[in-house]
Amino acid sequence: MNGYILRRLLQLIPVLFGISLVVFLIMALLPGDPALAILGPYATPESLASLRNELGLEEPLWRRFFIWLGNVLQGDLGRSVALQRPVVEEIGERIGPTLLLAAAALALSVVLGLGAGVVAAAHRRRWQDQVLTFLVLLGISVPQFWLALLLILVFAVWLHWLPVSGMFSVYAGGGLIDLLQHLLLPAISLAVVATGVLARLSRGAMLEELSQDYVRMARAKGLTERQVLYKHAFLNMLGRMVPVIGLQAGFLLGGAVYIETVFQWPGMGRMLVDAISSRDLLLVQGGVLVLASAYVLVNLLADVLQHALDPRIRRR
Amino acid sequence: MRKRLDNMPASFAWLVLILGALFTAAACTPEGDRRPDDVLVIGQTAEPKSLDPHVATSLNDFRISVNLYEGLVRFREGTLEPEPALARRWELSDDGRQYTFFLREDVRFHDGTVFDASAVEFNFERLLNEDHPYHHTGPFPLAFFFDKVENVQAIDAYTVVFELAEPFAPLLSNLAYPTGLMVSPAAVRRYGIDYGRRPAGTGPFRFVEWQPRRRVLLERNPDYWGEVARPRVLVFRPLIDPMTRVAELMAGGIDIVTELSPDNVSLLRSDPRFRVHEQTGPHLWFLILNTRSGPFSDRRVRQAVNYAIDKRALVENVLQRTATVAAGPVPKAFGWAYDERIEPYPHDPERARSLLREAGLGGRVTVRLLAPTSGSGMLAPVQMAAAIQGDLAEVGLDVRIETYEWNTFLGKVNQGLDGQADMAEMAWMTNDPDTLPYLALRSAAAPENGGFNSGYYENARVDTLIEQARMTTDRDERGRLYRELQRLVREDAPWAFVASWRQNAVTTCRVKGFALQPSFFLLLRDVHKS
Repeated sequence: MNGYILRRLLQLIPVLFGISLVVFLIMALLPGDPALAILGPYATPESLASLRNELGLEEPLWRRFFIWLGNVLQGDLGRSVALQRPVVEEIGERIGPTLLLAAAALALSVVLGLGAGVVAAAHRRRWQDQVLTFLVLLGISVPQFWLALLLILVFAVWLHWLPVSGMFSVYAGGGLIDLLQHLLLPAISLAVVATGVLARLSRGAMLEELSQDYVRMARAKGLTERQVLYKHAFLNMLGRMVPVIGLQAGFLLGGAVYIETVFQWPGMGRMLVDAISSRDLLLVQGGVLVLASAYVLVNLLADVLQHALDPRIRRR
Repeated sequence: MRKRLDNMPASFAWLVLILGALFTAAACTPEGDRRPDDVLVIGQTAEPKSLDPHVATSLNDFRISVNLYEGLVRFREGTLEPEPALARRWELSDDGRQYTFFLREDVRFHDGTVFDASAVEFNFERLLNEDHPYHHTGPFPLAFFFDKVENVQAIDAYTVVFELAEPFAPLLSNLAYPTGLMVSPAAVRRYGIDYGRRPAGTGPFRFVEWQPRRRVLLERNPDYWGEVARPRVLVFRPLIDPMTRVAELMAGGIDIVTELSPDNVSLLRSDPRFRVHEQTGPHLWFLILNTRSGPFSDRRVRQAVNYAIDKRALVENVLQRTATVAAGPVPKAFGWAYDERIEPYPHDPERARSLLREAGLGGRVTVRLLAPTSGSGMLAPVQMAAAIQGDLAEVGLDVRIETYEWNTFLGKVNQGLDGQADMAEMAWMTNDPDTLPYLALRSAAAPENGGFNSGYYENARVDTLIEQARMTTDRDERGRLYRELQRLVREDAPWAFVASWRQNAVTTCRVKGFALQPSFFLLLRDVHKS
């Protein structure tokens, strides 16, 4: 098991190197001059030239890449020119909210999605199944931004139950309750699609488990339907679902750009969009590297978990 | 990417908000506002970049800075005319090359240090002198406002002299601009390049904290030399998404919000719980025409474009009255320099067609127009390009629109239009009538020389007028020169003059004492909630 984890960790190195290279190249090839983006429309050619020089943009591409890579290996992601602060500091502040939002959305979608999947499978072709299937379809097809605005309108503007945006109240806020109040609407908006996906897949997986011999065996032994469902079939289905959940976690991590914008959630998604439009090269490179690492690590975690849960894989 | 994200949900969101408006009650009772009355929350359009006023270039940052800092002079409320601030008065030498400022003696920075002549010296040395030990705390993109300043010297503790290379009339308005605000030398020395996040000025509010993406918090400066501010606390919130800004306002999360979209303004205008404020600023939205080659090298064709564009329809339909029609190269907000007798080119397609025929362009002609997808002061660049395309098609000019991301667009336009396009959209917001003509209409400001005259306009008389006006310190005389310039440039039509942006802000009906300024700054000292 340890050897497996170590091997997987070592595999990360070429993956991250590849990601760094691709991101670096894309940013370098994008039209638009970072120096102009900083100095704005008033820039004179002299000030542009001197800033380009200062930013190291006059160096050849390959040298810029290796200088950056060398610094990254020493834990220095450089300085964001648009924000006038170290990239590490900026990401350090932003990764927390993104992880929190993704984790909350993941928790919601796992509980609701798997729950719906199991119930639907257990009541296959009956009204429960049909209602849930309908809801799941709705969840997958409702546009995220529309749902987000609708939630804001109903719960914040009309009912005043929950705040519109932000992570904490802007004046005299703070504390866990305040945070949870702010977290609820964005987490729901973000979780809807993942919930639908997990519900559909877990229903299928559950049905497959229920058709297996061991289930027939368990029923023949005289176990109650409850025991069959939750003690046997569910646990096996969970093992199958873990990698899917890992993938969804990855999507939730990287896919929250619009939700972060509407709810003014101070996370990485919004940071990246802003950084790209202001040609903040180092911030984009650093941000993508961190998100990609998180994505890869989450999937690694899922694989390890599945490994631990499913003896059949362990034996392979 | 950003544009698509912003636009896609707009129609949905619009629908949702109309529904919202229908369901909400009348009368001045904004619910959801659970803050003390002396706390004002302001919804901004973006996260600030820097609270160092010499580093900042965006209005979004200036709106905070002008409450933290003061300059030697400031714009008198409701105008763009400089009046004394940290300088009690000033004297100008006869040759127009030496300004002597006599400073107030009762002013301290928020960090407790004294504001005096040596502080002024430090500020301008840091800005202008590349060898200054704190010049590296820049870059200072707008330092060119003071490039005629050769030397700034403290004569005694409260007298400071500015020596100019030549007479330079815009100096005072440039000093009233945020680039002329006075920062605390002690704070700059202490925080170095992080000063922009730990600002200290002399203004009616002092800095408390900056929590990125959540808020910038200022509090009343109890030791302020002038009248002490009425709000105890100002909270500036970055709310990037326009829908979120409106939703926060409607939910009672903010008291004042700036730069709402036209749709939202018309929605809130009819709602008694809110007040819409509007103010036309020193802004000009125009098309640069390539006067060097192609069809627009003929003045008649350029005039034809000006006649063909239906500016009133643009302003009323596309921009939904968030702008006014512009008549010439000097925005109306510069009252003393503006020629009231100048009329905008009327919308006259017939006249345009006959001018085109005269110029030998009877058939259909294809012209290329560069437009950005968005950008500072550009209003609705893509929709406006489409509307202009429609107007010009009517007179026989087929416009091919090419859109670019803002920075790419600037890079292209600033190189000059020749070989790239016949027209380009552009917008400027300035603080002195000199700035735009000097940077973008002088023949010496051609792109080859690093200027912004991307359409290569050349008129010797206009060049002379610009040079004379910036050297003339008598304001009436300057005004006369600018009025002549406006008439000439309007006639030559190197640009198609389109619109001046009318800034908007919406407050809840409880907010009192609030007024927008022509400078677009947000002065909050006397604002309060009832």
